[in-house]
Amino acid sequence: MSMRGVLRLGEVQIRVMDMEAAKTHYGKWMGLIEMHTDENGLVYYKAWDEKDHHSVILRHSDKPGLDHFAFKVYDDETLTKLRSGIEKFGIEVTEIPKGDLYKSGRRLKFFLPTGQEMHLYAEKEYVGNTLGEINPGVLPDEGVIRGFRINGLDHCFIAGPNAKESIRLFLEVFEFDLTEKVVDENGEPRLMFVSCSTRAHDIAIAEGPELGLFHHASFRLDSTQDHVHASDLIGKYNIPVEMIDRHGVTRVKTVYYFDPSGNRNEIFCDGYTWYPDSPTLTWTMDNIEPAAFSQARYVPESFFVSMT
Amino acid sequence: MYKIKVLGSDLLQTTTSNEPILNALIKGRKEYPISSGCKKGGCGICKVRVIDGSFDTGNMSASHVNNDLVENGIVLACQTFACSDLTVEILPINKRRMG
Ligand code: FES
Ligand SMILES: [Fe+2]
Repeated sequence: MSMRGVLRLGEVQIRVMDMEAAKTHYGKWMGLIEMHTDENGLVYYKAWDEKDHHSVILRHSDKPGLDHFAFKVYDDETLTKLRSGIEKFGIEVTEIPKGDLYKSGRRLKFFLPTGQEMHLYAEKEYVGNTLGEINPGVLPDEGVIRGFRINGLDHCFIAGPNAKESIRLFLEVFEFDLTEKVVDENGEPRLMFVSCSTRAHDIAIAEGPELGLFHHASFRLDSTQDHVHASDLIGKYNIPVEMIDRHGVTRVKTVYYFDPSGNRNEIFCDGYTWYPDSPTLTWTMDNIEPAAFSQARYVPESFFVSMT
Repeated sequence: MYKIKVLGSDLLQTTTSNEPILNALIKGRKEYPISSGCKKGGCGICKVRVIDGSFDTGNMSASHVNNDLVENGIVLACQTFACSDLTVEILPINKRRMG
């Protein structure tokens, strides 16, 4: 495996207006494992099969949205190399010293042209998935996999002005591949999907009218059965659903729903395997319905407008 | 039971103090341009102005409303509960469109 640069989306910090409701949503219903509450009231979660200490952080605020997202990189040397790449690209980088953020090694912090705060880090405390590393078996104890049966945080979708510039940073400096794009009538890309792995996307960025918009954070499920099970729980708990369908783009089976502060979440399974020699797929805006939702071939108005 | 009159429409919707007025307003969506998204006060697309009547509100994003606006009746319908009959104006959908 030659993946030795940027590895994955390792963390999102999401603002919520009602922490108790958010804890019920992310912890009890979705089944993420609550790891810690710090002195500032930030609450830390991980999904069962993630090995690092946490991947989702909730912060109380008077408005929902995304405080920051962070990608994990292979090692500290990669971090050093990427820092000069980001600076050469023309973006200012500040360093967050080791230990300043809970359980984290040093980080690079910078702002994307689309306005979001992004971090890169190489170290976060390893806690494992409860199975251990020697003869680990396949199934954790009862109660470890629970709620929506989420395996891990997968990707996020953000929007803002200069989406093409943000994407250029991912392609040229972080060495992602452009897997899919949605283009307007002039052939201009408006929604772009990029991958640093064999997944169809690790982040998506759309052109949007304001800096720092958050469209959704997405979580990976194992199977179609788990997807149906999670959808049944979404119904049981009366969580507002936007769409249950399949994406044309990335081909994943999806559910979009909202947390108690109006942040959009996604759970998905399936999708294809991406390799660096795969061609970029192009969808056109005049065909957006099946590109977005290939079963219903219908896009709810909120999908393009509701962002936090 | 309270009645909601929508400015510019002859439709009268009914609501109770237990459910957000968005639920009632949405029934007339063919007649006036009300939108619904997150239903949790986060995205702002259900913004309306209450011109007449009293109401309670739940959590609403400070990106879309603040105390001054709420005092002027500008609220998110998914987080607004009637305490009397209401007259409501549907505000143009917020233009934070991506893509
Ligand atoms: S529907 Fe999102 S704020 Fe009301
Ligand atoms: Fe997604």
